[in-house]
Amino acid sequence: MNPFSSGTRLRDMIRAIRACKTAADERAVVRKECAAIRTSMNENDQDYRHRNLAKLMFIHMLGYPTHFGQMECLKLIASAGFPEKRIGYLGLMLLLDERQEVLMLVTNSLKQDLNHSNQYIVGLALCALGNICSAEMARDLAPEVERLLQFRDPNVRKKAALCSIRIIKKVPDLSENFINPAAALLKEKHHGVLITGIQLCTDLCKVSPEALEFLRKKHTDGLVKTLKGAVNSPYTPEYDIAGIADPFLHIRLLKLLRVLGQGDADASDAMNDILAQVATKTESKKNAGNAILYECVETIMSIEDNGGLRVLAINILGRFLSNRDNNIRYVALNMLMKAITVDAQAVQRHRATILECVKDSDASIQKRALELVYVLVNDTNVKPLTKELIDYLEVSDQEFKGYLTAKICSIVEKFSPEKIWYIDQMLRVLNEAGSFVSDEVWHALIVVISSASDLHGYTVRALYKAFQTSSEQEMSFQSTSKKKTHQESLVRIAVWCIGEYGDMLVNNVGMLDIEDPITVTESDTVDVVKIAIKHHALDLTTKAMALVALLKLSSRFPSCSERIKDIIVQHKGSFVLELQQRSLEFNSIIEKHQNIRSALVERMPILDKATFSTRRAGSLPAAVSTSSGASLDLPNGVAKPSAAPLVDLLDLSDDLPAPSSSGGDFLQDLLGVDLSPAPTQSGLGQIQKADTDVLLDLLSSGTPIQSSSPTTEILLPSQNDKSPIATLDARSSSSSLSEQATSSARAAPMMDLLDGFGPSPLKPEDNGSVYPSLVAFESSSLRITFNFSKQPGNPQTTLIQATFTNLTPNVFTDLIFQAAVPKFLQLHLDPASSNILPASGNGSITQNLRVTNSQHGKKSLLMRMRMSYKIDNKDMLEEGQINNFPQDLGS
Amino acid sequence: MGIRFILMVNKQGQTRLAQYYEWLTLEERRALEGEIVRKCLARNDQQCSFVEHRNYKIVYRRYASLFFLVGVDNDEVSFYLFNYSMLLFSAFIFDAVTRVIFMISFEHGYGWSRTMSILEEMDGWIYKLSNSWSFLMPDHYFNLIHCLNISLFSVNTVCIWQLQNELAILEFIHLLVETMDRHFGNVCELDIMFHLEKAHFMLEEMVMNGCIVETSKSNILSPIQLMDKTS
Repeated sequence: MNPFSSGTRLRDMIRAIRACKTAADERAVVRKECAAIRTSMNENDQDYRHRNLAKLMFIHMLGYPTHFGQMECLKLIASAGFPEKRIGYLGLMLLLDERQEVLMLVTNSLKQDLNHSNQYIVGLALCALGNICSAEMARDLAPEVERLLQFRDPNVRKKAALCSIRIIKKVPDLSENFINPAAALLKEKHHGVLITGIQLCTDLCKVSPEALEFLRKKHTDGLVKTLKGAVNSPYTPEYDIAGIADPFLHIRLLKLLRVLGQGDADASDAMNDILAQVATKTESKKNAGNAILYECVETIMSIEDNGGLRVLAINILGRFLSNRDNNIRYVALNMLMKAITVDAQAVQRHRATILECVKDSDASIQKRALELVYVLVNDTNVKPLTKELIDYLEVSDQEFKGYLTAKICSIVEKFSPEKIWYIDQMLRVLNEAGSFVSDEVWHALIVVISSASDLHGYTVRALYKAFQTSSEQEMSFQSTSKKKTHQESLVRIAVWCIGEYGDMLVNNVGMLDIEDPITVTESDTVDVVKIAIKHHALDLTTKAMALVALLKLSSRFPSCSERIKDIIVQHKGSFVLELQQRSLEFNSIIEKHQNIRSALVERMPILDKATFSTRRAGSLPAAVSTSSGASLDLPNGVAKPSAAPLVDLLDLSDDLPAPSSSGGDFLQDLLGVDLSPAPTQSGLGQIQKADTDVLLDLLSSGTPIQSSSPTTEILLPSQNDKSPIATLDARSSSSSLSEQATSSARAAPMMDLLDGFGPSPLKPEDNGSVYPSLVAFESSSLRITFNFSKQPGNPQTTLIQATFTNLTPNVFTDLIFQAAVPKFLQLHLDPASSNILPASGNGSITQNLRVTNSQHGKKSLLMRMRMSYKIDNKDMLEEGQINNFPQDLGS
Repeated sequence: MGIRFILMVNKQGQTRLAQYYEWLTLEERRALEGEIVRKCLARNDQQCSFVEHRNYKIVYRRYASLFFLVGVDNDEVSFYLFNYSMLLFSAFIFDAVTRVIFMISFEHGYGWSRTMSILEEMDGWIYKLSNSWSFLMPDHYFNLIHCLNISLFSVNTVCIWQLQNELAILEFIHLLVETMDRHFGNVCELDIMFHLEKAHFMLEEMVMNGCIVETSKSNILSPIQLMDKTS
């Protein structure tokens, strides 16, 4: 009985499945069939075994589970007849994989079949082994395969060759045994054996350097001859494709030559002539010819330099690029990507054509071309290229926009020659594709805007105009009922800038020559923000940003204050907690706290680019090694091994004796803000928290700062029975708004701290009052001395000048001094005079600190510090603590 | 040639033949087939025959109502897998040693496109370097691996993928169709469907473990015809 022609029931099943109208019907049919097959298997039905398996293959193809058929495959393989074996092996390859345990059971059958007298059965076993063999099987059966490489029948030899590839990939150690038999295959005349032999050699070269060396020495010339023979071979109908005898063989040969020629001048020399011949003689009208040319170009690019050939190759690519067939253009772009490292100049010549490809209607080509443009960009061509890309952004389709935007942003960020250009380009991108701009990009833009202080006015005016146009467009689109995506990121940036620099918008401050003057009234400005906040499609972040902007504007434009208050109050009833809360807080600030408002909403300090980028790369591991040699016997600073440096740095409470007053009090102060229940001080609490964040950032150097809050929690329970909590409770029960008035006074110094980030560095004034200087820290390598002074009339604030001296014979680089103080103190650090500390005390660095003691007269100063620096690029870290500040300073 | 899978799908998106040369679970296969087919069916005749999808590059060709899809690796460059955290560190070190090295550091098994997207997020310049990888000299591969082994960390996986010749794959699809045509005589979707095992046998003779075995139609068909005769 013939298993393949009598498969009527298989046909019936396929028909039944095809007749199914719905997926549910199909599932039902398949379920029924599977049940029948299982029954038949259980009955051990010999006659239907192969038919069952054929059905299972079909079911498997449809995507249904067929694991129950795996054992049937093994049974079929073990049976004697060829047709059974054949379908058994097919099932094995389709239904099983190398990860399944069942596969181990088949090893023995495979071994027998590899030694079978029938060459077709040997072929079947080789094929199965080549497709699914695991490492264990590879080890077991490698000798058989190796032997079969010399089998008399070429059809077995070719399969054995491919099987060997699988084996050496699974177990590279075995590659040694295959080198000689593989090399012998290179002399074959039979195309199938030759092509598989070449593939085997290519893979051998990749796993074994010895094989590469051997083949390079012994067989390069032979392969060149083979390729020459193939190129010049007369017409052979059996292998002919478009006038070329077996292009697949050509390609395989070129690939192997590439592997041999890479990094070896002699081998490369040997193949020069034939490569030139292939590159010039190959017919390029048909796909097959182009495939060979493509491979040839790749080989020329990879082997050792030969100027003439490279020119030839680049010319071929140029021809490909201007080809009308999209397939050819695609591979040309692909190839140019590689050519760029060999000859960037030559690729640059094709820039215009490549840019055209970015605008192609085909997504695959667009993407390739864009990637190519991306690597073509350099300092000289960034401006025209970016212009082209942004121009195209206007017309590109939505799907591609996201990708294109990301690339443009990355180019602009990396190559921008000046800030104004950066800002201009980003504004254009925001205008065109604001909704595709990622958060990081607009965060970075804000950092740049904030640091370009001479461009604030220009930027805010440009954003104002852009925002107006975009919202007008939106209006008109709405009326024509067309859908236009709103430019979320544009709105955010515009709102932020208007909040910060609104006054510059109205007064036309910092006008550049290129600008047209515009007249904007204060109320226009408020209108814009109002539009942003009213737009219901915008998300919460944007609305929250708009609220903050309004608060800021209320202080910038006192005349609009009432109107702004009205807008803010409208959100009092918002369902979104964040908006509601902010609205209430801001309202009370406008109403009741005129005196502090202007200080509260002062312009943001210039954002630090470095901090931003470290935070962005926050996930990177910080390679910090601690200094182990710090001596412990110190007059003041206590050098500690920094197991958890940050925790140590922040929680002074642990191991400090309470300075003067009761410990409970001190702890309460230390934890003050965090302990208080949210409703009492929510508004200011938030500002304070924001403040602490800034402070923590200062200390963090990119490491997350969660460590401080666990401390709080640990300490919390132990506090429960102490008096400070009682006062705290009392405070929380009093009405929240009136409470804010008092707590705001406490917040004021916090604002000072923020201001300190601004461009006005504090000058230490020597007012004559003399305090003894203090050796704050001394280790075997570093000494820090503090000199104190106070401003007259401000006894709370102490000015400290820290002087760093290097005690080692090595220069310190990247010196960073960080300090932390308990919460009742506020600390401001000015930049250090340098971050390089000369060796052996030949010079020093100074850094000014300003400490404000809110509990002046009650508690004395406390400070913990951390110094990190590099010696010969090795990271060092030291820590210390000061609790013996001169008594007359603080209390 | 690094073929990862061969699919035959009709215009309605129904799979008619599927042969994978790497292991994917049933769910992964279904998802992959669905996504790819949707992508390819949406394209028109003028567009090129190559589609990039996840870590595959799909080379497809349409014959009447049947699509032939061949998936190959999307990677053209050599690819080292290391421990994630060493990424930037190693990039810096080896930039100085050889002209173009970047390290892709992963535990295991990330595809090329995913790797790339992560890299691009991290920094653009790494990406730029990556394109020069195929020019890395083979000697350097081994020196590099050796020196990494002794000095820094152990190499988890080294996998060197080769460049794909998309045009050759396209030509291969045509060869496959011609072979089927010769056997079935004016082959159509139903032939493949009702003679699934024969189609598979043919494929078996042509491709093994993702490599091309035989390119002569008569050599491919002779074992199949022999069997037809004996039965």
